[in-house]
Amino acid sequence: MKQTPKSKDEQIGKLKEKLREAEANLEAIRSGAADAIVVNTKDGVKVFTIQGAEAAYKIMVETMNEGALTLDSDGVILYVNSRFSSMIGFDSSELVGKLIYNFIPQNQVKGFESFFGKSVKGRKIYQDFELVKRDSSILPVYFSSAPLDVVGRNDVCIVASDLSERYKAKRKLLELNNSLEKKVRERTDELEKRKNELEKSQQQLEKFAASLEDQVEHRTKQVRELTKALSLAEQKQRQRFSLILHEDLQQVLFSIKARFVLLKDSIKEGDSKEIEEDIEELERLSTKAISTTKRLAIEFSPPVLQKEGLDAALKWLAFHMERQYGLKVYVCIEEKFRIIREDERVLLVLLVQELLLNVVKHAKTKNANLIVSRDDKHINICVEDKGAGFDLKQEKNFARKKAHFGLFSIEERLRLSGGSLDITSSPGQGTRISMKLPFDSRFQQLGVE
Amino acid sequence: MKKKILIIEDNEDIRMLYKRMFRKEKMIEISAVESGEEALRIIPDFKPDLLFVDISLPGISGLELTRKVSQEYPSVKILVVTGHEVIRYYDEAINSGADDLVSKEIGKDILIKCRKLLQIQD
Repeated sequence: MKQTPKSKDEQIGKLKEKLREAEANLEAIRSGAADAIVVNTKDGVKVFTIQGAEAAYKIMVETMNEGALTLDSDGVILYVNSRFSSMIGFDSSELVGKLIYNFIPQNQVKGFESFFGKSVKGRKIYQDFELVKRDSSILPVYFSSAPLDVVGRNDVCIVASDLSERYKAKRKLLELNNSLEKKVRERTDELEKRKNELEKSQQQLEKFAASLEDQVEHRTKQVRELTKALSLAEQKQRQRFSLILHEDLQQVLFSIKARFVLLKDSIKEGDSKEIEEDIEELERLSTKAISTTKRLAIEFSPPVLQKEGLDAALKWLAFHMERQYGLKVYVCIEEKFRIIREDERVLLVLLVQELLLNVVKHAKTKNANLIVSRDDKHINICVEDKGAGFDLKQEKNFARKKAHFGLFSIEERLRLSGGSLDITSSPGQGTRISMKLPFDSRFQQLGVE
Repeated sequence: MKKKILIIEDNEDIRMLYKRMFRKEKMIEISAVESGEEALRIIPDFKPDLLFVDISLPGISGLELTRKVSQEYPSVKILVVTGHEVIRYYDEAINSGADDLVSKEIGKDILIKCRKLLQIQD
């Protein structure tokens, strides 16, 4: 069949156009502007990459620090880079052609399907997943997925970042956090414990303060009572002094004065018998006056109390009680000592005197024992009699009895000196009152008798 | 007729002194006791004209005795003596029925007071 000139020209024109297109493609390939050539073959469209261009990308993909893989729309692995292979411990030859689902843990398959499905549909998405490694251990990864823009295919490219270090750091952080929380909890518990202890201490302190206040109040009351008792004792002492002055000394002095007047009359009258009688009486009265003044001086400030040991003072007291009140006091001193301070010495003798005066007033007996003994820490001074006694069991009356016998003030005075008073008594069985004082620096041992 | 004085004084020295003071009084007969109780016991028999009583006595006090005697024996004169200050007890003594209150200190002048109360001329 003969071709028409138009038809030839058309053919030439088409060939020229193809030639121009081919020259342009060639130029593009030469210049590097084209990476691949898409060819329409009888088997369909095919992509032919240009080796030079692919090599650069391949080097980049193979050497990058992230794992990379391409999958077809069914999830079949088409390509993995070396990093991805090393990440999960399989060679690329073992991975290519396998379903990606084989490397996803069972519990994450559903989640990955959804993720992968969205990628296939052309979305760029990101999500954390886990991969099962060759040794069955789990590798946490971050998948960044994007569709591959290849004509006629729905392949997907995934970049996988190894999260194990990050997870390790996170775990460490979590551990640190837990440890910190634990420490905070422990510290809080400790603080709570301290707070409770503090509250307890505070309560104890408050209780102690309250008890201290009570003690101070009680002590103040005691001191007040004692001051009252001392004042009363002093008043009694003054009254006694005044009585002796009035009843004894003053009467003698009145007599002396009147006798002198009578003596003058006798001299005037020259009655020698009466003169002699008056002079003798004046001498007797003067002696009596001197004796009374001596007694007063000794009774109110016995010289024996000023220097001697306590044994001498107590023996003097026994002598005085017999002479003055007819009370025979049997003194038994197991150990000699003296009290260094005079006021304390006098006070102790006065306390013993009060106990002996109680025997005189209430015991209805003419005999008493005064026993002084000492143990390691205390001095015991005991006054006992076999007289009337009283009932200690009647507690209501006991306080009254104590007050009556002046025992209250004795007890208080002893307590202020760190001592105590012990009373044993029953009706008809006599009374035993023991004063206990700490043997401290106030005392000085003089030797055993 | 002799006047009778009953001395009530607990102090022996003073009692002796009074006895000595009244020894030369021809018109006076004296008796001395230690207490008010004893005085009340002997008054009915002794029938004193004058009670010479110490204000401070053990048991019944001088003023109590004065009150009793002045009520029971109104004719008996009562002279109270004291070792204390006179002014302190004077009103009380007079109100109790005493005719006078004197100090023991006046000594022999007590005689003058007694004579005066008993209306004895020197």
